[in-house]
This record gives sequence, C-alpha cells and structure tokens, in this order.
Amino acid sequence: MNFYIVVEGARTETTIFSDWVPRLNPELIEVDHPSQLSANNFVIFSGHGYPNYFNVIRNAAIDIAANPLMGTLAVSVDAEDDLLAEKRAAINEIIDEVDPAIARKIIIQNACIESWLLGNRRQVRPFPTSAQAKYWRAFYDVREYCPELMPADLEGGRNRAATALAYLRSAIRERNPTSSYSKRRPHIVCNSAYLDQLITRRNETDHLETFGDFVRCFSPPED
Amino acid sequence: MIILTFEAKGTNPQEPWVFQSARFGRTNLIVGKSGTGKSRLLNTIFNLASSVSQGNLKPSPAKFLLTFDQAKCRYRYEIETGPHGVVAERLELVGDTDSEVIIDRTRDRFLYLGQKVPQLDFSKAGVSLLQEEEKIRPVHEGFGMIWRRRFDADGLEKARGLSNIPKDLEKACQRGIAYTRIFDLTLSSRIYLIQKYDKPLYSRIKSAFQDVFPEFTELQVRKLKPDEMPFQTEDMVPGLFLTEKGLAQQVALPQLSSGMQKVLLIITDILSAPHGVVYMIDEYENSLGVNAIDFLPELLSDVNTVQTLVTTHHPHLINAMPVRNWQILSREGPVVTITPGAEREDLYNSSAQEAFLQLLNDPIYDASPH
Repeated sequence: MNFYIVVEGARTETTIFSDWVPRLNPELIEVDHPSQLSANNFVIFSGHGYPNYFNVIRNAAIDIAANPLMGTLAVSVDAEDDLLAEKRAAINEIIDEVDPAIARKIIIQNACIESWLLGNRRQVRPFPTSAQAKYWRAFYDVREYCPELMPADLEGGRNRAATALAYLRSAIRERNPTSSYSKRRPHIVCNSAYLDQLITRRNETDHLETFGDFVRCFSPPED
Repeated sequence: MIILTFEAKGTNPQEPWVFQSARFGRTNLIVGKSGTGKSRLLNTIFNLASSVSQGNLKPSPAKFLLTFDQAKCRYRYEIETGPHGVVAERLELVGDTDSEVIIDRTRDRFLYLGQKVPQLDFSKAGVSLLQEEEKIRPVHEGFGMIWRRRFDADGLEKARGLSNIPKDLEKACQRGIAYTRIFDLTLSSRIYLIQKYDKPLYSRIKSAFQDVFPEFTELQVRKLKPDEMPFQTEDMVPGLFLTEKGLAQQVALPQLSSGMQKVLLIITDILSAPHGVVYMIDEYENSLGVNAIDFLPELLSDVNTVQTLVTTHHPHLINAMPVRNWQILSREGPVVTITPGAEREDLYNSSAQEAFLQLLNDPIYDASPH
C-alpha cells in the first residue's frame, strides 16, 4: 500500500510524519518524489499552508488519477478555527472534481499538530514553576482535558493553532530548559516514546480524536 | 564564450570552500536555499574571469578549473593561485581526439606551445601576459566577455544615475558600438548611444520594454539642459525620459519605480549583448511585482547568442523556466554541490505538482532531514 501524503506546512508535519509513519507501520518506506511510489512507500508533500495546499491536493489527485498505483491520497491539514466537517467537505470536493474514485484519507488536525503534541502528559508538568507555564496551566489543563478542544487564547491575541503552539513551547521549556520546539525544528517529538504517549492517551481516553484518525490511517490494516 | 563546466576550491585550510563541478547550459537559473552560495558562485566565476582578463590576480589561495567554448574552439583552463600569484596554470585547446597544450606554467617554468618563455610577473595570468599571441587572443577576449549585473548595494543606483559620455568614446561608437566597453556606463548614456548609432536595437529595446509596461508610449534620450545637470562638464550628459499614457509630462528615469528601472536595464543588457557574452544577474527579483519578473524567461528564450546565469528565489521565475535550465545548489559545510536541473527534469515532469513546490520538497533542496 502506498500513501501520497499532503501535509499542511513546510517543515513541521514533514519532519514529524517522516519519523512517525514508519513507527506506526515499519513496512512503509519513505521516497523522495511521488513518481517513486511503488510498493509500501509513502511520500510527504508540503502544501505550504492555507490556501495553497488546495492546489497541492488537486495536483496530487491529478497525479494519482494518472497513476493509480501511487495509492491512497492522505491529506493532513489544520482545522484551525474552522469546523472539521466543512474543511473535510472542501477537500473532498477538490479531489472529487479530479476523480471521485481516488482513495483518500482526510485527517483534520484539531486544531493543529501542536494540539496533538500537547496530549503527552509526561511532557506537561502537573505543577509548573515558571510564570508562563503557570499561565497556560490556568488557561486550560491539557493533562485533564482534551488538548484538541482547547479554545483560543483570545486575550493573548492568539487563534487556536497559535495558542497550542505557545502552550507546547512553554511546556517543553518548563520540562527541560535546554530543550525547545519550533515549527522549523520539531525534532524533540520525533521518537517512539513521544508517539507512544499520545497513542496511550488516545487508547485510554476519548481525547485526541483526530490524532486517532492519523494513527488509524497509517497503522497496518487489521486482519 | 560559453562556460561548459566550472569547479573551484579554496586551498587555505583555515578557510575551506568548494564548488563541486557544475555543468552549465545556455540558460541557467541558479536556485537553492539562502546561504547555499548562489551569489558566491557568480562572484567566483566573475572575479576569476576579470582577474585573468585584466591581469590582476587576487592573492587568495584557490584552484579553478573550467572548460568553455570560444570562437568555435573548446578550451580547458586550470589555474592555481596563492598569496604570491600564479602557482600553476594550464590552458589546453581540446580537440576531438587529442589536446594541444597552449600554456603550461608553474613556479619553475613557463611554456607557451611547448617553448620556454621567460618567467614573467606571477601576479598576472599567462592568458593576460600573452594576450597578443594568436592562440591566446580569443581566450583572452572570452574572459573579457563576462557581464555581471548586481542589484544589491548601489548597483541599480549607479545604473540609473547620470554621467557624461567622453567625446572619444562617442567618436568610437560612430564606427560601431563596442557594447562591452559601454556596459558600465549609465543606462541613459547607453541608450543614448544605441538610439543614435544602432536604431534597430533601440527599437527592439523600446518594444521589449513596452511588452512589459504597455502604458509607456515613448522612450527618448536627450541632452540635458544646463539647469538639469547635477554636475558641470563640457561633455554631453544624456537623460532618459519616458512618455506615459494619460500623463502630459514626461517621466525621467530616476522617477520610475525600481522594478521598471531593473526591467529596462536587463532588457538593454540582454538585447545589446554581442555573441559570446556570459551575462550574470544576481539579486534580481527583490521587491518586484510579478509583471516585472515573468518577462525574463520569454526574453531569454528569444536570445540564443548569450549565456545567462541568473540567481533567483522567486516561484514565478522558477515555474516559468524549464527545469532543464535550473542549476540547483545545495551546501554541506564548505562544499557546494550543483545539480543540473536536467537530472531532475524527468522526475519533476512526471508530477502535476508545480515545479517550484517540487523543488521545495526535494531533499537536494533541503539537506536537513524531514
């Protein structure tokens, strides 16, 4: 099975998915270009953000329509402040315009990939000491409540995605002042321990629903 | 001259740098992330050529190897420089089956066509020292045909300024314009000479400019009046004026937007370049609108007597240029690798994704791990 994956951003998802997808299914091997998809391969193509990713999704659909062996079109983009169903419908419409028969998996990251990353309870200290981490703990307790449902920090002038990013960066610094996370360098989450924590959270609670879509998409098919 | 291959390396272990072998075509769009060495590549080629041509080698330890076609012959030129000038230099005329060594020079000997020549000034390349020799003259001329247009610092400021035209230069132009000689004049002065002595070229320049900016109906150069002159001179100082639809008053060149000035300058450069010029443009698209960017591929496709090397980051220019014309730079430490777009052409053409986005997603563009 092959996956032609279109992701939201230029660096964050390409870096993280490149590490996580083979951890979910070790048979999947990454290739550099869509034309190299042959058997059990995946390629990650950056959509370069909203709204440019709609063009990239359309072109990916054209590629697959021309060569169905390229496999399933997997799209993973941010919900941000939109309704999940609306965003999913918009993407489906673009793919259907090219060819309704294209196999697809659409993952709407609610609100963004940093929302998923906040699901690692080991990463978020229960009793923070820094003023910034305390602010976020008071704003929304991601250890107790689903990070995907965290609202926007409107007082701080942030939308939901910016809120999740700021919270995560603060939590990572609080846990280890020498560590950092940025959209361009998200490598601190690229390991099995981090991924396993998120999977555990998903399995043990009803949290991280859209992260569950991601895990289901790339895990080996059950017999 | 058309440069076929180029490679270079610094030989000072304290400051290592390497350009691995590049294979150039007629049109070359040099792309790569910031900091990969695009401008440095152009500077290195230009500085080598001008120092070989003008005979003032820079005292920096480095080795260079280039092959090029010039005057229907193929040459291989290798030079190593050090703090005291030439360390070694070799020029070969490359034939189909064998080669003729024209210059073979080390610190110990200097041979021209196998004959011993007295050791001459080590601060000058043999190509410059022996430029009057029949076998070397075309090579020396070739090295003098590299034009570089830079838009960083005050590059545009100088080009759009005013300058006098020396009387002897204008007199020489009456017998035919030496376009390399007038390349460093201001744009107004160049267009003045072209308007006066090469009317068909003037019409082509005007027409090409109007293709990009159709709102301009006329482009004229005239002698400035004394009260319009920024300095006193007995020579003629020309000023360039444009007529815009709907405006009663003419617009002087310095009043045009920087994008319009750049476009006129590049059009003038490319259309006036004689056969064999290697034309380099660096830092071109900064602050330009799309209409002032996407004219370039069409213009270059019309000109097949000039080799062009253009650095860019701009999606429109990259998408508009065939992948085979790209040179993709990537850098790992001091080593810059130059991948010809031709090696990526089949791959990129196999996908509907925009070429620019395929480039951004290509591991050779972004050497850091996904």
